[in-house]
Amino acid sequence: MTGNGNDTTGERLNLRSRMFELTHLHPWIERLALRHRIPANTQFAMNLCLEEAISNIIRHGYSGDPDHSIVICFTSPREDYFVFVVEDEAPPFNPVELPELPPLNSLEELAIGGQGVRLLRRFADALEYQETPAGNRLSIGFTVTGSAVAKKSERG
Amino acid sequence: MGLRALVAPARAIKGRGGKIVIFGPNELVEKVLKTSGVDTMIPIHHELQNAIAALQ
Repeated sequence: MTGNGNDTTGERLNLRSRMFELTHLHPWIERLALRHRIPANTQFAMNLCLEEAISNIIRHGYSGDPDHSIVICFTSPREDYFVFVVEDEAPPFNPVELPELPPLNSLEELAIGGQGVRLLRRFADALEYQETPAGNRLSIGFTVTGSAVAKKSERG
Repeated sequence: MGLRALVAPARAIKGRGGKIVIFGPNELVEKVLKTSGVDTMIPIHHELQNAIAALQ
């Protein structure tokens, strides 16, 4: 772990718990997408889900404290299936079992927290959560063939 | 992040009596907007004339 947010070599990304660090995410995913020939729609879902997951960790898990780490590992356990494992050292938080908030329905609802979990569930093909001795491990899976991105967009 | 960047200004604009619409999002962006319910607050239009008319 470098701790400076720019270790994007290999298939692992280390970030500090600062919103600015999200700027490292998209170029890293773009490189992975090129290397693994990941279609644009799946890449979009990856960007969206990881941005939501990581911004939630920074904002809520670490309560904005900028000196913690977030580690993201990328694997492709089989053809056309990709998994990001996001690990943090924040207090336990299981987004998989979190009750889903209703969609926003008025501009008065400025507190749009909770929509990130909804987006994760709609755009990822698999979500698994484990509490670790240090914090949390969230695995976010994406398929290419029959991707949730395509199927779920039909349902709106 | 992205949603907040839309919702907060939209609320400010409506608070001042203005109107705001989203014109021509691509399919994936539109899915994000609909999944989160933003489309119920900020109408989406794919025809420019309709978007302009909604602002009148």
